[in-house]
Amino acid sequence: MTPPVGPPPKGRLLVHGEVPPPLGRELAVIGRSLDRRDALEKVTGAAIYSSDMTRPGMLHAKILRSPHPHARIRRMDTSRAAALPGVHAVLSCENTEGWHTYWYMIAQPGFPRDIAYSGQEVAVVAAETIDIATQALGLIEVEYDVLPAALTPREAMKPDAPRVPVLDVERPREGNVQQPVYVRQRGDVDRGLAEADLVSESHFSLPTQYHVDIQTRCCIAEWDGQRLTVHEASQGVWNVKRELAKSLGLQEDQVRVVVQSMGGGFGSKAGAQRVVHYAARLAMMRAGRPVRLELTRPEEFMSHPRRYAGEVTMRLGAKRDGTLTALDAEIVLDIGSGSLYAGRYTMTLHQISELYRCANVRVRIVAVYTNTGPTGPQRGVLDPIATFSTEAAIDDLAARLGMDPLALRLKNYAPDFQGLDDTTPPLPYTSKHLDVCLATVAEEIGWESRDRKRTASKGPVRRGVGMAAYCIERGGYAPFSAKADVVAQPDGTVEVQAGVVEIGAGQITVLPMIAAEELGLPAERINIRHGDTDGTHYAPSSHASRITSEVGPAVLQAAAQVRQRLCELVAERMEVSPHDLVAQGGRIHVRGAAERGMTFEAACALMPGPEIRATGSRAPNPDDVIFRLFGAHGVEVEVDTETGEVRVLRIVCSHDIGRPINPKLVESQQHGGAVMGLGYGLYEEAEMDRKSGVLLTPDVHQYRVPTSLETPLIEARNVEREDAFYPYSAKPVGEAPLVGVMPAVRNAIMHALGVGIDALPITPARILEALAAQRAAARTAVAKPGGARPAAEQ
Amino acid sequence: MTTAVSTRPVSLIVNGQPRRVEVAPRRTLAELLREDLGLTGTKIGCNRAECGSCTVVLDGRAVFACSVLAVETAGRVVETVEGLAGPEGLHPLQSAFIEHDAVQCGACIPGILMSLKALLDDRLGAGGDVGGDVDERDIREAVGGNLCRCGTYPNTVKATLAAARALRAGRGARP
Amino acid sequence: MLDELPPFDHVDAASLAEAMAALAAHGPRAQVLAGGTDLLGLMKDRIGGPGMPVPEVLVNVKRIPELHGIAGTADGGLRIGAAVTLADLERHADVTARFPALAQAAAAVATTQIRAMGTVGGNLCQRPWCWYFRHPQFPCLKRGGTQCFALPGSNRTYFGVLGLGVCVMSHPSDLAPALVALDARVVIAGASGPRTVPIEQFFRGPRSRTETVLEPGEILVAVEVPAPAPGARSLFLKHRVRGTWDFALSEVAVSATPRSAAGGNGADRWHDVRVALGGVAPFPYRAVAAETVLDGHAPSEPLLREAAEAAVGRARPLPQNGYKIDLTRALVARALTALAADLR
Repeated sequence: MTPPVGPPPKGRLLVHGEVPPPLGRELAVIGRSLDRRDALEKVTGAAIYSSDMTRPGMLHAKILRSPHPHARIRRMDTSRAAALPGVHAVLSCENTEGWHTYWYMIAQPGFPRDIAYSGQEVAVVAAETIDIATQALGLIEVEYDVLPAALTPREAMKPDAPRVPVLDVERPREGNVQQPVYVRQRGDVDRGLAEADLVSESHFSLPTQYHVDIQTRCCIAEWDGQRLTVHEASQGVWNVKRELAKSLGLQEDQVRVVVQSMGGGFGSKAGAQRVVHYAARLAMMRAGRPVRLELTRPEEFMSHPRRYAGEVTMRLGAKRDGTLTALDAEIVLDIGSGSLYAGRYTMTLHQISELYRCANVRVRIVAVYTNTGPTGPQRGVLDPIATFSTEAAIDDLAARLGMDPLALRLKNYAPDFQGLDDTTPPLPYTSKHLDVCLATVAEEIGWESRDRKRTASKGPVRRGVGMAAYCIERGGYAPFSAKADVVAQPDGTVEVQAGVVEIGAGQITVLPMIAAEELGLPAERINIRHGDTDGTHYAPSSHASRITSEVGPAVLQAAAQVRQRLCELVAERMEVSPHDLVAQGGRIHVRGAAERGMTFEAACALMPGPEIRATGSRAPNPDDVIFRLFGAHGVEVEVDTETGEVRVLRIVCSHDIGRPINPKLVESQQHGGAVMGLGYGLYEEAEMDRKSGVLLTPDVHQYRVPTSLETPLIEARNVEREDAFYPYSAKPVGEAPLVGVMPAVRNAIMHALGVGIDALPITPARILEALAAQRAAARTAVAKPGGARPAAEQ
Repeated sequence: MTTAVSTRPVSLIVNGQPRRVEVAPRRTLAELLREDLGLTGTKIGCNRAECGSCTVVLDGRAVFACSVLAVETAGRVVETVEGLAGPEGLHPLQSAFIEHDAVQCGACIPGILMSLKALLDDRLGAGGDVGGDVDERDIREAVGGNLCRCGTYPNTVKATLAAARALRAGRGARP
Repeated sequence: MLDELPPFDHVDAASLAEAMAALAAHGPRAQVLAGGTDLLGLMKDRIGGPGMPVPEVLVNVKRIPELHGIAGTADGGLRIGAAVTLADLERHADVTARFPALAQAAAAVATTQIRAMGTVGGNLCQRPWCWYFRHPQFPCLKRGGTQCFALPGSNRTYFGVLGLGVCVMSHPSDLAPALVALDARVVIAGASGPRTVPIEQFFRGPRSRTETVLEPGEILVAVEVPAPAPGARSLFLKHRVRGTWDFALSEVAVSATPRSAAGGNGADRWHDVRVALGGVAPFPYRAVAAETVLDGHAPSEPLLREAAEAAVGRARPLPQNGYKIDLTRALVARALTALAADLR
């Protein structure tokens, strides 16, 4: 049994050095739904994205791609291409032997001779125009030794399977299976299953997912002989800077990366993609001629680091009364031709081993390489697979026990962290209010009346209500080296300087709000220098919901230090103690006596030097407390049993979000996560031709992203509580809202139809097939009394 | 084998201004706007008439600029996002999008705004004086052809309802 | 700066004669350009092959007077120019009033923007949405190659269950089944003069490389729908995955004329029943078996169900699209039920 866990340690701002003293007054800026800082330029068309930029003398680059999913380049000859008038540079395996590009600082061969997927880059050309570049591609002679391909994990795991070339750093492998196989366990799962009154087994097929950011990748690289400047559509600038410096053999300060506006990432642009390295290297071959490389939409699909697909078998052991005795997850993960996230498999554990109280848990992940293209992080990464599997399996168990799914969840509610496995001790969470989230969702979605709703639905259209909960780990990642500066000028100008990129979540709105609060100013008074490695410190790329929790504290600390310095100056002038002063309402004044003080500008005018600058610095998360995000979704659907159409009537969510810095930005993230979750669960279906390994749906017409017509209003009733381990208790929110949607939808459909559909997306075709199978099974059961009954029944 | 085709002059009205460009037949309206006129507000998300981010208003109707040939726009009237704001300030749609946070990464926004401009002009009139109205369904239909991966749709609906109210109340453009 | 369209010459034809002369002069290098929403995408992806060259000359037919307008014909029907946009068709008062299936079909095409650009002629002449046909790497039968990749292969969505042959695609036009249900005719301008072809004969079977009977150099000029018989009504239902954009997984257009039973007793009988299916065959499929069940009878619920069953009686699923049979059966029943309600 899990030993009892004490209360969490006192929350504190996670910064190096001194934690700023409390403000000593009510919050004036934090918690307000201020307009997004860049909204105006985006609604007027003034925002400049990398694809909107032109540079004098710009060259255009085009990539040649392998049509084969598995091959080896026997011969490559780019000489005719290079000789074409107007061509300035060509890169291929011919002239890049041993060259590595970097992604998340993991080495990838630049132009390997081994082809791992259809669409893989084999050469790139920079020319005066796109037409010349395209013509040059046609002059490149490539001879391939075409090899048999392993297009599915099952094929790849056969003893005689072809060996999939791997496009990231070589990890140990046995055949096409990454080694070691990931296994984590707590307790004794086999005993737990043996002790169960009922073992409920579920099997899920979870597909890949493409990011489909509306702006395709586009970078412009310029080399002036000394410095490389890159404008990109990337989620980060500092990581790209370091990755480029490393691949090109430059000093880091020779590389500048700039991203002002970018059109969506969702993980696909979190690291420097190969195309950025290609453009940069081409640029360095032609000093003074910037190189522009833009991917077309089909190219994005072909070369995208998309979400891992997985086949999941869940076995849940339970007593008759619903008490869980074992949770056993076996996941076969299709990681395509390479994935950097071997270490991230632990994400699955957070859902499977933490969401419910259970002494015996095992997660086993067999990660298999296939000739199907790169995989990588997409909003939620592995959490959606783990959440779906757990929450759908829980509903299956509830059905088999004849128990209400919410009651089953509450019965096994885990108030404390139980330890991931036998090596990690139980520890307190910084906070956990999932029980309140569940109760809130249940109330809002009308859980009590859900069976009545279903019974009341007449005719072919059935109503159903389902829910799902999640537990994911977010809250910052090693090495926690984010820094930010806040600078005040004698004229009262204040600037936050942070190497963060605005990806649409509101990063550049939230950080100035933090500085404004600390300095007692309205948010509009704070400028922010962002998205540029010149003039900022390292900040992580905007992914993994990490900016507010990692950079926020640095900004907070820096702003507080500026405030303290100003207070010292004012105190000296006024002959009071600095501790008597407060920064509020644009002034610095004696607490309780607003007239005894001066304006912020007047305070700044006192500074002896040209500026007051402070650097805040994020410290690592402490290891005596656990950082997690919790929440729940409730969904009401209508299913047309004759056409298979699913209408999502309502989505209710309740996220344990701490306290929002900017509520309307938080709400937007919750909308976005829900819509992307709907897409994954109901509409998005990539199709690969099984013979050729070619993606048949490299377009946004056949790969169906949800439109406004699929999306109901999303009702959020979040749980807001203090959690002092986050700046102003603001917990991360970028990805969590996605993970609970699909299982809630699937569970709602199961409630409506009486059959669980276990392969995503739940398209009309799958609904109709499931209903046909249900009818066939019922006929069999009638024909043979006591025969096989449908697996999941209400 | 390339067909050598010369450019030809095209005169059209863009955001109320007469413009004249020299374009090859292969040039799309989206490319004309972005490259020949420097109006990069209109985005190209797929170039295949499949995502809607290139939506502009052509002779009063929302169309995909990536699939309109520039040479076929002679004498026609084009409105882009750059022309939404007027001398009195932002169009109510723009103000409402800011207020209701219907913008995230922004890549789909110019297209969405132009789809909605066409809708509101048609139903309410440019000055809000035609007397019609729009409901949630109308709004969703109008932007059904505009993909947003950030998921702004719920706020798009709220913002557009607010903009329609503002137009009907005669508040016109706001600074 | 994507410059994805290949270079081509553009001819603005002011008349039919000019258009046909340009087509004749350039032969297979030239193609008709209407709305462009299908053709330009095909060109950007260089979808072609032996006998299907990527065009180098586009002949714009949108200025030709004969291709415009929706006008009444002498017999009380409508003549719809091939260059009429789907948006104009959808909104036309007379089309909505007397030919609802056609207005509903036009409204169901793709998105608002595409309906503003796309034309009646373009909708009928659009190429398949088989994902092999649309991918540059698969030179299928229709592109001059020697095989169909969909069978065996991936055939889940835009593939048929009826009328299949060497090609198993499903025709994507929404207007086509509606026009079949309305007994429309197509007016074609050709080198040897104009000709009129019943809509069902406008489309070809799966063995053919092209989907319509248009010969090289011919232009689709107009579609004519005859006046509906007194009391006749029509209706169109489309089912797709999303609420917009997508082609049909299955769609149905129905029409019928009610007439009083002999002797005036009992319910009206249905006559001239037409049931046309889209999205389930390489051409708009006339479900004659369903019509036979209904013709001359009163539309009772059991009879409508029998007709729906008959509509898919000859359906043969591909390995991955069997769901279309259940779906189509349900849609036919639904359409007929709605039509019955409309006719009461």
